[in-house]
Amino acid sequence: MNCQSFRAIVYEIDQPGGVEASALDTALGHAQACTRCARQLHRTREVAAMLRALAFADEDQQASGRTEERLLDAFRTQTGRRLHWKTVAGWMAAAAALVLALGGGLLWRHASRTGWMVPGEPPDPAAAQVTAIAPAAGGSQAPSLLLGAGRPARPALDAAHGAPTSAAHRLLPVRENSADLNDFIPLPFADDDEPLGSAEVVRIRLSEADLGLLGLSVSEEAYTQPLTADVVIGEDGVARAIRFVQEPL
Amino acid sequence: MIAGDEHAFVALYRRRQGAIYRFALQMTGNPGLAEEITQEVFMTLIREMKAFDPARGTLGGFLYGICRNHVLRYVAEESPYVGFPETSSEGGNGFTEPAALSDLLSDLAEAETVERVRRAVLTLPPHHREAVVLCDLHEMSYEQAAGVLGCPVGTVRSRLHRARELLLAKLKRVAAAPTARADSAPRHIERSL
Repeated sequence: MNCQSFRAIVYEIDQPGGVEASALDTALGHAQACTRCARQLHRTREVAAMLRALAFADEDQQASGRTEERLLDAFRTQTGRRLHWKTVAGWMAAAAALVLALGGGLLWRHASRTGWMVPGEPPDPAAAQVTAIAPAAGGSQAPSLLLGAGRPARPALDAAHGAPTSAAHRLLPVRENSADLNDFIPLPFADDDEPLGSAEVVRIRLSEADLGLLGLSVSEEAYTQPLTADVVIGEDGVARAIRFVQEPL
Repeated sequence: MIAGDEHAFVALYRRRQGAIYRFALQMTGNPGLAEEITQEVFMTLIREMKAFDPARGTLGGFLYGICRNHVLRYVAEESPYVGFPETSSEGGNGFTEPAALSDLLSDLAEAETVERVRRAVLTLPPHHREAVVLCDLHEMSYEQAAGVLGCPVGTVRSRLHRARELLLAKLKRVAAAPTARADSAPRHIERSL
């Protein structure tokens, strides 16, 4: 080892793990042989001792109690502010939840009243069951439909949206396309001039014999054949039009 | 502490403030400023508690990092010359007799000598100064210092090596001062010696 390489590591010699063991032995051997490098090592150690003395002298130095007090005040203010905002945010969240709940409730109530469903959703035949069809009192009146439990399977139809030419055509703007509307057959008993109000379409199952009660002609060969049909029922509960889902044989 | 636990904050402050204050003091040499910087470091912690990510380093390193930023801001604004009184020109061969340094060593207990070492540290360029303060005065490993300084370990090693050389030269002058001629006027040494 020469003097130059010794000086490159002289500050590492006393550092734990600063120099490898073999290099350390070589360096110390060189320092024994070279007076100048020995003096360099000695001075380096003295400076290290001075720095340790400085570190020792400063060991108890610390910030004053006033700083701690100021910081504590700041901490309280900051956490108080944070808690305040958390409280405000909590109240705002609660208010938003209340508004949403009220809105949802009103929407649900409206949907319950009007029978609103998602457009295009297929009607559930089990939702409305017609247990019997009986002619209404007076021959010229449409028969009353006695409905079973359950909501109407089709959307509510608001007469205000439709063109009031016939019961079936009043449905057009609301839920039905024109092709579907053409399938509805106005019932002979229905009074076209009677306001439809909040009409509903219900799916029913009935026998062909019942068609006669509705004023429709019935094929005698298949008199007992069951049928599925959509019936438009006005607000007054009177059937206005019918559409056969399954044509009679 | 994040949940607003005052006791946790006080415990943390009392455990960490000494090191932070000393780092600021040893870097600036100004107790009032060190106090101010210490306060600012913990104020930053209060304001931005969530900024500390344990995955990126220790809390100590985080606080040292904040402190260092404040210190360097101050250092950048301070005068480019640092007073270094009671110094004189070097001897001809650049080396002081070991006996003079030995005497100095024997006086280490004296507050005056400690202050001379402190002043010598303060005259170091900031990047060299912080390497000495962290590794020699705060007894950090090279790796820990590298984490605080945000530089490679090799950079810390080379800065420290250079800083010790500078310190040795400065302290040699301090040691030679009592033997200097009586009429030699004090001078200012440029920090980037």
